[in-house]
Amino acid sequence: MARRALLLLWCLSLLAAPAAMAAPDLRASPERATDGVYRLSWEADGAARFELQESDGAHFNPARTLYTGADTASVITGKPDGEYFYRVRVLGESGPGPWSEPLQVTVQHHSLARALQFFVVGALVFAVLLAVIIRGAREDRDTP
Amino acid sequence: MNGPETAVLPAGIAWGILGAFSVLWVFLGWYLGRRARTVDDYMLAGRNVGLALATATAMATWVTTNTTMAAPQFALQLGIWGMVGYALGSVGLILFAPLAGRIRRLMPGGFTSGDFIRLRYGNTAWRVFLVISLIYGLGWLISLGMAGGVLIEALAGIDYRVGMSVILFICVLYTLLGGLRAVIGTDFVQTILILVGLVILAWLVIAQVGFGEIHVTVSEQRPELLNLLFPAAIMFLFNNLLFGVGEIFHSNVWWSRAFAFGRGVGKRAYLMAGLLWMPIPIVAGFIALATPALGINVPGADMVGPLVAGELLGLAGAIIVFIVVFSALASSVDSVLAATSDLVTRDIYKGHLRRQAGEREVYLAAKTIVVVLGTVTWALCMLRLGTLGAVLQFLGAFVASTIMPIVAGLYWRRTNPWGVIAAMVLGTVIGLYSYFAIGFYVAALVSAAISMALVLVTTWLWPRDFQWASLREEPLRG
Repeated sequence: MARRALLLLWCLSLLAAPAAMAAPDLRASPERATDGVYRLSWEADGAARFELQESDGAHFNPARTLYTGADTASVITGKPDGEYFYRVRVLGESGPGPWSEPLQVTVQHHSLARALQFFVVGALVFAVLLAVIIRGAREDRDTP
Repeated sequence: MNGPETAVLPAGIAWGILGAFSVLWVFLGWYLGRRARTVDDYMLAGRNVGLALATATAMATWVTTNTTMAAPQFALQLGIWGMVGYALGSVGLILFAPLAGRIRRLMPGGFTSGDFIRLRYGNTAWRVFLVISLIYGLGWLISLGMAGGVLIEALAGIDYRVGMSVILFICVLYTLLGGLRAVIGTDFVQTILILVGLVILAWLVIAQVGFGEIHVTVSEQRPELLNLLFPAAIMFLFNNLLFGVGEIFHSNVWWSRAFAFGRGVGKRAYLMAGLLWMPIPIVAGFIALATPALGINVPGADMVGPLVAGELLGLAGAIIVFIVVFSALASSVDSVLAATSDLVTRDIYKGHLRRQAGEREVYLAAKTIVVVLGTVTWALCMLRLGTLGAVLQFLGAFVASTIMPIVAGLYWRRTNPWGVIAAMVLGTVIGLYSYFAIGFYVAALVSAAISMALVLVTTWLWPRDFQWASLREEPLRG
């Protein structure tokens, strides 16, 4: 009976002990961006504050802190072509937790030639539309 | 949480503003609509709306999530061209000016854009058009409901679902009470609030943030936003212009106003509304570029406008933004609800299900359909599908396919109806493919181009004669 009670106490003590902080789960959507826009999101059970870092390399040397606070997502925009690395960690009351695995995001914009092709098609469609409306409105005005 | 870390507006103040303006809208809806007894009164405000109200309602309806919430999102994502691209949305209103005059002359007794397609191109084209139009109407309503929820969550920290539900409920209630007369009347008040609010906001932004600091931080941290050769943004320019044109040319929101405005009013009203609207997305979008300078984290791209305004301008700014965006949303939700309800009532209920329905039955059906549409929108808003911008631009593939069929139908006597059907179907399908294969910034452009090519080729090869007098038929009148 005493052994069972001791075992129970030991189990309870395990539950009460502070759990080691786990690294947050970091994701990017999309991981390959053709317009320099992507959204980073992360989660960790019970964590209240986070630190998000960005770097040009997987070793984060040097690294730039993008955000510190309670949000669990961040939208990145306006990035030129390149490889970008991100990591995030929990900022607990007893100090920072471990960093998440580095997450790589690739930015490769559409080619300028492709963009200009769409621009020309758009301009052409607009010009034809304008011509039809102007001519139609003129004939409409002249019709009694 | 995926929402912002700190809410600028205390929840109590947010509920207070929401409550006060809700009472105002509902009262105006009841007051303005209390004399509506006939279908013409309820759906088309008696067909005699004057220039001031006509301009205000066109402008207020077009100042929507596009301008107040999604314009900052696109400035954040696509930079300078994102703002300019949104300003080009006014081209649709300006180009609709001559069309409105012609619509009024060709169809003095018309009710919906569906009426025109049915009489001009026949039943098959009508049904294809109805599918496109209903998907768009519902999609627009969803984006508006979402914007309401996102706004309240971003500024006041109130749960998205709660804020969205309250806003939709209020808009359904006053649209139900007064029909189009209430919608146009409240639009007038809402336009004044939007314009005054934006002027104050712009003045506060200029006074508090220097252009130099914004330029330096954006160049360092988000350089593509200032790049005039930013590929996706270059594609976006004409895409957004054509998306706006497609939205306005096909949607019953704008056709119902063309029928409701007094003789000779529509042309001037749409032209003035377009010119007055143009600077609004520039003002609304600009503040998003202050994000790096202020070190604000943006958890969701569609939250950026309210977040920056709240952070930058504190409580006063948050209150102004809240009132401006709530007015803009309300003015659009009611308009889309009313116009989509008209389309469902006339073209589906009366046109397909109950052809023998009398005027009283149609009048009651219109009110019931407002409630059903509101409920369906609410249910879909709860799912929160994508960001505002993504939901809106998805619809571009649908609406841009109707541009050439509408224009060619109004001005050309020999447009081929089967060419029009192929244009709407293939334009939409290929536009949707482009949305997923390339990006949201080409969907409307591809759809409009395919549709235009098909209408031009089929009309040139197989012209079909049409008598304009056929458009004066009113077989579906209640």
